[in-house]
Amino acid sequence: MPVESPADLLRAVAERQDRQAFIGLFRLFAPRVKAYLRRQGADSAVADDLAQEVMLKVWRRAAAFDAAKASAATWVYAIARNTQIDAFRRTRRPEVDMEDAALVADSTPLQDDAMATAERERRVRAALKTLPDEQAAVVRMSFFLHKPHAEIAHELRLPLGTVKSRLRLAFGRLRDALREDRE
Amino acid sequence: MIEHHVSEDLLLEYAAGALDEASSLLVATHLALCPPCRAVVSEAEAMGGVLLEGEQPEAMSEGSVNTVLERVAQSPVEPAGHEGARGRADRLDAASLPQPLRGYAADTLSRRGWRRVAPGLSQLVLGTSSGPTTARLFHLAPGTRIPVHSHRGLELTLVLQGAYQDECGTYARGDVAQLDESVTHQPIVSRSSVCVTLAVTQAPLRFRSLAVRMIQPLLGL
Repeated sequence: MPVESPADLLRAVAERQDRQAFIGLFRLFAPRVKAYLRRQGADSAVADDLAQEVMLKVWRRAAAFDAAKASAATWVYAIARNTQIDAFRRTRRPEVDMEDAALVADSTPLQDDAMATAERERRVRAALKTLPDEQAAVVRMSFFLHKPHAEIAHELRLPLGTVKSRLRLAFGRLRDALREDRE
Repeated sequence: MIEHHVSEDLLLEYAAGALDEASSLLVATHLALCPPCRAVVSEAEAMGGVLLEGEQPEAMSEGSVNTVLERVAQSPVEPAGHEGARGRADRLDAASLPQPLRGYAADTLSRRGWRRVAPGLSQLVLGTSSGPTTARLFHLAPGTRIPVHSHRGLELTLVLQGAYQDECGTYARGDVAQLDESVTHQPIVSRSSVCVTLAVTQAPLRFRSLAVRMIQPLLGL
């Protein structure tokens, strides 16, 4: 029997409220979300509680997961990021409401399936591994510690333009990896 | 067609969760109107996903998965629902405002009204968390000319309704102007209709005219 992918597990939770599938997701993601939250300075107990909170949202929102748009890890990352902002910064992070009538819909239909998404993420992973250290460091400070570019520049004692260009270069590599198969 | 987009730097900061609430509100509103920028944000979020996968797992407390499963038993999977247009749509075509901006506007209007700051110009300061950055809606009568000004920090303006022109071009629904200290401009609203914009400022505007600067605190600009 093939091992189910995280995307399959999410679909099983959305369609059948499959508790075994959820346990699989929990084992995979909760310890990583906890480690991510510890980076923000949360102690073990707080990180544990918040990671549970994130996983509860994963269950509740499973129906909104779309494998053609993002991998399971990227989708969980977005939930963890927002939960963290609510909890630690005590502010809201306004988000696009994809169900809103006033939303301008995308006219180019998504042709990619979940397999293509998984393949692209594999390439992103490979691309991120080969980033020069100086670029990897600013990507981490930005996407993991959620620091504004100006704050990263201040901490690393770099001109703001240097931080922005490192992030742009890193993102450029990632986009090249994402678009390898598109003409 | 949207011609003036949010810069890639700002989209990256939004995707990373590094923007304050007011700036996030403006970016999210532009994203609701701009599918190409939404695609950029999705691609950028993939960086976060890959980093999360690469984290060294840290053991969860014992029984935590059961605790969560007990809680899910009491909370069904959410249907994909949303709030419709509601609240006092005073001076606004509320249905044309994308979420979450519509909610912020309705929420603010339930507590206070628009404030007239000059002939043809009213503002509504939105209730985002306090900090150096403010979000406000501007309501401009057709043909209004804003006095020549520059900016002390970054100013972002998103057009929601109508259009205006300045030295940099024409801005219509969905267009974003990203201005800093280096830009001095004089926006002029198109004569054909009212213009509504969402403006996010890091610091007060700097008007060139001394007369305007002296009454600026009174105007609340």
